[in-house]
Amino acid sequence: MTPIIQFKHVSKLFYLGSKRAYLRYLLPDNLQGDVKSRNGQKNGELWALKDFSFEVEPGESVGLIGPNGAGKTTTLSILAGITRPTSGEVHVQGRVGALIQLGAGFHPELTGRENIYLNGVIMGLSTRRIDQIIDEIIAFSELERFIDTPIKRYSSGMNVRLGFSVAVHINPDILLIDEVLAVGDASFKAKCFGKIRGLRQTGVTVILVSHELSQIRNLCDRAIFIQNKLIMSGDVNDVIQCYYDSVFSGEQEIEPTYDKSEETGASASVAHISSVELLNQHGELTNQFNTGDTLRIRINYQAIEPVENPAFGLSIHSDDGFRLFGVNTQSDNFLIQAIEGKGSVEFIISSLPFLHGTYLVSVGLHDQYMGFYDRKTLAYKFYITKSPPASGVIYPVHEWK
Amino acid sequence: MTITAKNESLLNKVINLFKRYELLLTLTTREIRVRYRQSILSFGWALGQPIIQMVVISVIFGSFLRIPTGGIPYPIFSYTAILPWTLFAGAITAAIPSITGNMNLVTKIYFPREIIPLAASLARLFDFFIALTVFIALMIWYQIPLQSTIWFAPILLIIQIVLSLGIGLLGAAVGVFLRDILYAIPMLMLVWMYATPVIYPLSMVPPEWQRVYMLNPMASIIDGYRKVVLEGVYPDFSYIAYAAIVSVVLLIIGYVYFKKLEMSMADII
Repeated sequence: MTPIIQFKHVSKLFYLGSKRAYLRYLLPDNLQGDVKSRNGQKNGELWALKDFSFEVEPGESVGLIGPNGAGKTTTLSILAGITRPTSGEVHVQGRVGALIQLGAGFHPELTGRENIYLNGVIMGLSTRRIDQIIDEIIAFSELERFIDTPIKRYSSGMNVRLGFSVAVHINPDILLIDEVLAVGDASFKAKCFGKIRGLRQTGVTVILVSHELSQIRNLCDRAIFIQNKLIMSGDVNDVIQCYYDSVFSGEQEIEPTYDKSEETGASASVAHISSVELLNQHGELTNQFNTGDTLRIRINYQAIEPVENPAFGLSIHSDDGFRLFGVNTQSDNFLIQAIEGKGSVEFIISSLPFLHGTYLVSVGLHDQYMGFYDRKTLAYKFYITKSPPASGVIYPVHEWK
Repeated sequence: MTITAKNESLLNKVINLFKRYELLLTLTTREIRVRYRQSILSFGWALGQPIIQMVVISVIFGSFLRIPTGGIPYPIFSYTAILPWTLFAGAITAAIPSITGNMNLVTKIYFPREIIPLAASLARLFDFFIALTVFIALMIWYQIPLQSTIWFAPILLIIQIVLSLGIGLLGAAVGVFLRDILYAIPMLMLVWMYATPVIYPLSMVPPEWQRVYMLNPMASIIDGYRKVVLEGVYPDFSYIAYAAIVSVVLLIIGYVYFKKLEMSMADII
């Protein structure tokens, strides 16, 4: 079977830096195309892809993973025709639909309906075709009541719905998805996943780029680990494992990528959390665990004045901030009479019930009335790097009969 | 389909452009709709701008300076030139920043990118036709008789449109990489207007300057409008032919260079 996508020794060069760098694009050297692949990297040059090759069979669903700057979006851009390789060849059979950004062409002054037509035509549909499916699109978006209002009045969630509804009705042979599945509310996301699964069943080939590795597991038959060239291609779980191994070298406290509010109550001067350590069952500092391992979280505190009946709270979140589990010493009936000076409290899960992924931890110190002295929200990270074969987030101990 | 670093043939590119005519229409309509949706004033601006220009210029150059117009009332004398010039300058001014102003259309999806400046320019035609109604009203008001030569005006219009598209494409392409161009446009168009017989008649150009002056393709065209619409005579066809050739050449150069630069445009971000 001929592959539907073939990347053959593709390299992609970008000229970076100051405005003068842009002038290089105007030179005949760049205009001829087919720049010879040079070794090394001169100043102001970035080889986003260097001799990258891979193939995709028709109907396959492939996940592209790699760190930032690995060339994932560049690969999709080349497949979508947005940019061209500096050298090498790409063969593509069939129509490509790119979900690299939703709502390309949307204008706030135009109504939802007008924007559907606009976006649809931009993405390659004919007006006649849009006439045929416009009702389907509007129904999918669930925006019937607002479809004839200018989208400047839409919330961002509504904009996502509109954009996605057009995009999933393009019916391409190859669907490229670049991180757009990260947005939208949970029910709409589920709808979109369902629609994509439906497309897969009709034989559409899917290439998915996502940092949410659970999505890759859910949707893909195969994964490719890319870091400016092919590192590994194969079974989804194996490739994800390889990716984790190569990238995570054990940092304890890392900056989470979004809202980290280190809220300190006015009473932080009375007592506060001085540090938090994540430990394995041997008491060693680590942030990598396997499903089923023991996790110990030691909360070191300092109570400058004595505090009676304090409560320590702890919650564990998935990497998008969603709270998976939260408890505190009060609700768990672990009553602490008082704390004074320096000390620590430990929270132990003897068998981690989480699957592969990145998890965030929030910790808090509260008074008996649940007003807080100190809070570290989403401030600590740990990774589950080895899991038994399963999908999803949690792993309850189970058996089949 | 094979994608490589090499470009496709020019013929293929033109064919691909024509295949997406519906997109061109849609984007042009978007430009027009958005402008007129924004406020009632916007609609008035298509009328207002040439009228206000004409009134101000008429007072200063017609009354104060008394530019000789060969017997024709100054307001209609100037408006006959202002109307097409507004289209010309407007089309270029809209086209050149159109790619940089729509980077999301360039970096997130592919379609023949020349459609963007083309749509921006074509949207100005709509303004032109609205302002044309004012022109007709002026003609009636000043009781200018309909000349038999007036059929030639649309040909002049086509030549200037071709010229503005060529410049627009060239400028839009280069402007992605050299932003300085974008800042220079308003000034350039102003200077160009002074170098064209919009405010004054062609006859006021001193003989020793005529040769250089007529290198400006818009000179014969704007003067041509006055001749065929107001005076009933034909312009010198050799100059018109020159303007037509320059326009076609510039369109070809503009388009070819645009298509060569097209695939690098998304790499800038």
